[in-house]
Amino acid sequence: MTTIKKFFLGVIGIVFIFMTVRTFYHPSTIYIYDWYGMLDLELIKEFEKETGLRVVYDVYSDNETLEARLLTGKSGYDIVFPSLIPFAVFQSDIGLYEPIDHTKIHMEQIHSHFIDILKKYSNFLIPYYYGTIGLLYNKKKLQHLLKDDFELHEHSLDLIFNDDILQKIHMSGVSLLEESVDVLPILKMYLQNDETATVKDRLKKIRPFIRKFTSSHFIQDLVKGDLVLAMSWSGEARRATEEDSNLVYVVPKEGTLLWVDCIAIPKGAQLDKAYQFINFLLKEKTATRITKNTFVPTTIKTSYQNLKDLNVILDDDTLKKLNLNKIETSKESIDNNKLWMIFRNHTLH
Amino acid sequence: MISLGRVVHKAPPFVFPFSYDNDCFHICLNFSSLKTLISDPFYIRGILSSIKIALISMVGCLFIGYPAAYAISQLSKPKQMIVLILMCVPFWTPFLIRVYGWMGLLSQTGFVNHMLMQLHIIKEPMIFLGGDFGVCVGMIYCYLPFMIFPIYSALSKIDPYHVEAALNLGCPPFWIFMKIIMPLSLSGVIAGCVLVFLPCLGEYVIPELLGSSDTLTIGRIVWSEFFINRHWPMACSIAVFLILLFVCPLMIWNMKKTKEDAIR
Repeated sequence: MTTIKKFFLGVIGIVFIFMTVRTFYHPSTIYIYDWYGMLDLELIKEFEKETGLRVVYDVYSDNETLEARLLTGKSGYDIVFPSLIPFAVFQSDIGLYEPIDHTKIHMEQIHSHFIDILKKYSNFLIPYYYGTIGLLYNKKKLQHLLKDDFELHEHSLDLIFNDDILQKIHMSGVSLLEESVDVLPILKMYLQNDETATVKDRLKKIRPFIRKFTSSHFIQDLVKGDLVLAMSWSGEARRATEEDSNLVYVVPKEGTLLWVDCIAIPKGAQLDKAYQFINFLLKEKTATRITKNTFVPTTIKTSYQNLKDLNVILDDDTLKKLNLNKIETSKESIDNNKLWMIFRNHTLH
Repeated sequence: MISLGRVVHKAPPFVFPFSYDNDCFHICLNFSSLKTLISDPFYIRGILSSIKIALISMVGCLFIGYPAAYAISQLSKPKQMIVLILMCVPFWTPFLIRVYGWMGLLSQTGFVNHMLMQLHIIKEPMIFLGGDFGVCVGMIYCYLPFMIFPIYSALSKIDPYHVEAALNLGCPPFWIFMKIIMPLSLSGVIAGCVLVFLPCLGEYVIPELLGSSDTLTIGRIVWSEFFINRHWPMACSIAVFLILLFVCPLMIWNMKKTKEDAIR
């Protein structure tokens, strides 16, 4: 009996060791760290089949998680997708990324507008996903609440920054995005004024009417009916409008922020494999698939012809009108963040 | 150590207060973050509001935990084991899932509101989440065992003859509790309170999920100092400040108690 037991234990042990070694040591593995829900399994399988590499695909849901990994030393990933401002800019400034050899990738695939706006950082970053920040609302409900005023303000930031309008709709729930970098610049655009006093004054006025601050739960709240209006990312918003026909996404007429998520290679990555994956991403077919699945447009211009009926691609004129966030100094960022936390905590005086 | 460092534009975003070059050992202690921490009412307010929530949760735990522990200690030994194990069972599921469970229960369309409406106690669904109430409920639920176990162990050590003797001498039950059981279980109560209060103080996940992340808690401030401001020394200063504020008095108390025990 004991010999049989020993034998089985031995077999289990060997299998276990073999599996562990296989998991941790695979000579041709590429490690990718991407936004939640961007690449589907089939795309990854396709890449595996094309190149013979094994892909380990991990996801994150906020930039902070990614930055924490990168800052603590060797992240172990070969490709990451940081948001340009304020994250990727800071990260490439402090040398967390490998310089990119442009001769090894098909840069000509990328829309020239994005190459222009990223010129300063093109050594380290390749623009990939992009989108806007706008307003997502339940049209029927909002029309009912605002009555005649609706048509006047339906494309305007008045809906979230004007206290008269907010007073009429706040009982049904209004949410803003969670971080100061996503909201304060748009408020400044709306006020056409950069002074802290004016901004503070406006924040004080609107605070009683804001129910929530969320960058990720607004869709479920809108669908459940806990919210009527939410400040939203374009990708998520478009997906939601596809599922619930009452929801409408608008890009505010006063202007808004353009967000860009870049491809970057962290220090110490396996460069050859990273380039292989980047070239796979830059293909028209891959980009089309990603946009079709997620409603998030990519910067690959050749994919646009396949996506005409989706209504997610911004034309050149609109793109030119959109602003990238300004790069804040660290003092500005600390001050803004503090103002924001006090504002959220109802204690702005 | 980091709390006395300097912020720099590098990875990691700080420099240690010690350096060694040209055979020379430099010490450069930077107290600016500790100074800001003490002088800026923003941080003090955050700390105070965290203390408030932690205190409420601690008292809540005590009020539920003490009777529970007392009831358990009165059971027969085998039953005690069963109850204690039953109490631990929910804690085998991950912490996050339990908190999400509370989100489901307390939401506007959740079970609690549904029951209250069915029983005609309320007409409109109540908003439980998004404020201090939800946070305290979550904390009390999550940290209750930390209160029950120490109190239970203190209570089960009380010699039943003490109580019997008091009863024989005609002491009313209330005073037996106040004069015998309470003082003898005090060490358990204090241990339980400490075990609940300290983690509640720095709790980040529960306020974030059950509260409206607008509640200014220390956890939230530390998070934003780390991730948004990239001001690691400041975040570390807050942590060090908390340790000084709470752990030092505890250590002094502990040392005093050991001395007293030694004299006895």
